[in-house]
Amino acid sequence: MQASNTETQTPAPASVQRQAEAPLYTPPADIFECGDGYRVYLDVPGARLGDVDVTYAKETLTVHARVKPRRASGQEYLAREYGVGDFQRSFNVTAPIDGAGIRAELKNGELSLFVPKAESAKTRKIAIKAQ
Amino acid sequence: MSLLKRMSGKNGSSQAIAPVFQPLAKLHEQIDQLFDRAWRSFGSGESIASIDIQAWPAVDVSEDEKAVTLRADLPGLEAKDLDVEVSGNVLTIRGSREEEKREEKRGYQYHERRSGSFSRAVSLPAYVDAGRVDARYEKGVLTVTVPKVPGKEPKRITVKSA
Repeated sequence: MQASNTETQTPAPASVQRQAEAPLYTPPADIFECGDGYRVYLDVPGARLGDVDVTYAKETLTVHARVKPRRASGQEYLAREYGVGDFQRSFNVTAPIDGAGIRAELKNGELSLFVPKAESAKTRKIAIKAQ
Repeated sequence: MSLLKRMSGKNGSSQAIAPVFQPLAKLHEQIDQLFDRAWRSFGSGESIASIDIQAWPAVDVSEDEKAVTLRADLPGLEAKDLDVEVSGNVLTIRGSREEEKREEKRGYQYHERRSGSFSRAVSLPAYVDAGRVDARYEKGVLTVTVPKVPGKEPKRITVKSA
């Protein structure tokens, strides 16, 4: 992975509001190239439509999902294997993509994005003329 | 953290292909997560050796005065794919997550999410009513609630000093 000398943390866009005191988790991602674009899947369980912000600016794709932290009072834990809090992940996208054409769907805590390639980057079949 | 694909050229040379999507994450957030997992392992009695081999899905089991509740993060499923069973006082959750069926898949840039079948079993305390289990799946979280039977809770015994 190309290391950069300066820390590249893109500040969250103004529209993203992070809940005070909630821990921040990095959601696991599956990304693959698919025809004229890329499919990005992120697991954000506990987030509803309206809790998830997907933004693309300056070649950086950012996903932020707000999740209500656990109820602290009145519960005694017998096992506690995972944390509950907001999810955030950013990607620096190195291929030309059509930012305005990004489509996002959220179902049962799974966010799926389709990120289309820019027109110039789409594969064009070249016709071979017979001699 | 990124997966670099290596392609070997005709004469055996290999080139690294940088992924199109490069993650940005503050280093300290990743370290925080590492410590977070380590401390939780200490608390629950797991040995250090099992830090990396975390059972999937991770579950929370909590109780309050009315019920014992199990919660598991299981995004991307349908309620009908989940199997919740109680046998005796053992609660078992089972299911499987399929990998996406893809058309024209040309190779992963990242493959971090777990898929496949899972099964977790939890022993319930004796004072619950295993016949009235409620299981819900929403926003990708499975919540199973087992109500307590009033009056069957453990009685505190006062320790007297001689």
